[in-house]
Amino acid sequence: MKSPFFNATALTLLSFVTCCVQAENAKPGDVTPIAAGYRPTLKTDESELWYIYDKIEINVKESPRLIRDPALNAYVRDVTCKITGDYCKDLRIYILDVPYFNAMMAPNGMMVVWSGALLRMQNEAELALVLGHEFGHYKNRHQLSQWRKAKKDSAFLATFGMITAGTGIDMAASLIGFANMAKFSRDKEREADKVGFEMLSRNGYDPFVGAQLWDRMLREEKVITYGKPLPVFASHPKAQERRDDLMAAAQALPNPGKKLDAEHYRSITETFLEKWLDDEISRRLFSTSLQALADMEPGYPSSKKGLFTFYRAEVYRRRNHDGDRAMSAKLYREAIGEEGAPASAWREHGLALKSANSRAEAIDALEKYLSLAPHADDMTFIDQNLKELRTTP
Amino acid sequence: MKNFLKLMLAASLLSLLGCVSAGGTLVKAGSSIPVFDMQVTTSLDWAKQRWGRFEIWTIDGGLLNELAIFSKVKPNENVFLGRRETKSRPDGVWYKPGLRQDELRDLILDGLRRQGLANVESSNLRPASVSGATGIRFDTKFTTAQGLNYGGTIMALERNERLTIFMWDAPLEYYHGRDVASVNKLLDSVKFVK
Repeated sequence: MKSPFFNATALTLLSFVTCCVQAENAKPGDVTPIAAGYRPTLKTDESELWYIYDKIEINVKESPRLIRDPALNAYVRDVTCKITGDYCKDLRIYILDVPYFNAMMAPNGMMVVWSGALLRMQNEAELALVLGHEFGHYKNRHQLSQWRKAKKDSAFLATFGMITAGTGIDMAASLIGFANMAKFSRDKEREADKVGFEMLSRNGYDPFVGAQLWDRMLREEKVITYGKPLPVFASHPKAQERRDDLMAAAQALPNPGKKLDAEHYRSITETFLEKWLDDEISRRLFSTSLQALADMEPGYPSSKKGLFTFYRAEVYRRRNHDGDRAMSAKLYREAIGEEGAPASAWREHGLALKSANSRAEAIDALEKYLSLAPHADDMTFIDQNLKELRTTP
Repeated sequence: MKNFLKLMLAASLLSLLGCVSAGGTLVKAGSSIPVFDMQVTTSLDWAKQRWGRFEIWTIDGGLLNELAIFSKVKPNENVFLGRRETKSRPDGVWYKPGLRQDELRDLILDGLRRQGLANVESSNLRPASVSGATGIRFDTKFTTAQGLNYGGTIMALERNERLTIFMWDAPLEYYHGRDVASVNKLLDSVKFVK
């Protein structure tokens, strides 16, 4: 999703930065970790960089993808504050409804977490690790050194193009995404990982969650046999190496913490589970969704089993490759016998039975669906199917 | 459709602002006119522009109301035309003949989401039948990246393994309510004539 207006604004702002700021003598490496409460001095390249992100943040605040749920926002903020301490007041966290795994940090203290990441996290410890990693970029002012490096680079104009081109996901998300697409170096990612890991372990969280989270992401990445890498891999190179580093760091801790706080995490995010699963399968990245569902399900109690089986069935049905219809029909049948299956599982089971010409069973299933969802917005469509089942010889 | 067709819209808006002098056509209220292989009757005045198997109609400009018509979408082609399925893009919004009605709706909604629209919802899925061709009609709501809320109605028809889509949307603020009945009447009037 590109916004010509915003691209023009960004380009103007960036041009302003390049022509007016006083940073000729600043080198990319001339940055020290940021102090709590820090604001850059006016008329420096850093203040202008913050100015750009302040403008971007206005768009993020108004984004239709912004999740405003008070409980979720309060929770993510609480975890952020728990791990960042005095820096908490300098950070603003925005949760965007984008069904991919990603989180981003802007140099001005704006942190963005995508819903696809929250869907995939299984506990508070994983959330703390991701937030801590992003905070690591902020604390070490990685964007500033990146910015200085880009301006000295002959590819600066190409960077302009990247920043103003958009990602196709959403204006606000895309601009931040592009800021991150100017990939951090391996050293900077490692540095951010170290900050995240330190915060995780210092707060008593289980330090092994880092390697576990990366393992799951790597599994998703491995099942993609086409197209572009997932956003998290586009901006984070050498994933396997970083996973191994996190594992080694966890193993080296003499008294590793055990805190996961999985139940608390689920109690906050569960409200969004069905919505986020709907969004997940709407991406039409079917192989990764199947992998993600397989990895997510063990993190939930058995009361959600029917829900996960239903969504696996949905992925097969929508993918519609050879054998997928039969697999989805089998899974719908399983789902309706399991705890937590949504009403839609009965609808899909009924429609699958109709396709298999099992009329009596199909009628029962569709009637069950209508009894469970008496105000279903597809009632006319279901009634038509029932009519066909009852009248067509 | 707010952004999917931005380039085409930019070109078309110029022509629409200039009294549709660059290949656009005015459709007068009360007229019955051919559209691809169909005949359509409208009670509204429209300006329309055509590109191959695709037409855009608008009354007040593309951002305020827009009827997009996609004709004869082929198997394995994007439901909104353009790209086709390839080995490197196996999971896109490719039209497959014989999909169930609700599956066709899901495919179209996924296509809208892929264009970057947020909060895409549908309601009131109902069967549609035009000159023996079967299909669906349903209502939509979505939000653009700029935060504008739109509502609309979509009709999709399958005929001879080709898909025809009528997709109308307008801001929920004023324009949708003003035209929704007339647009649905227009959709009721669609007939295949070839």
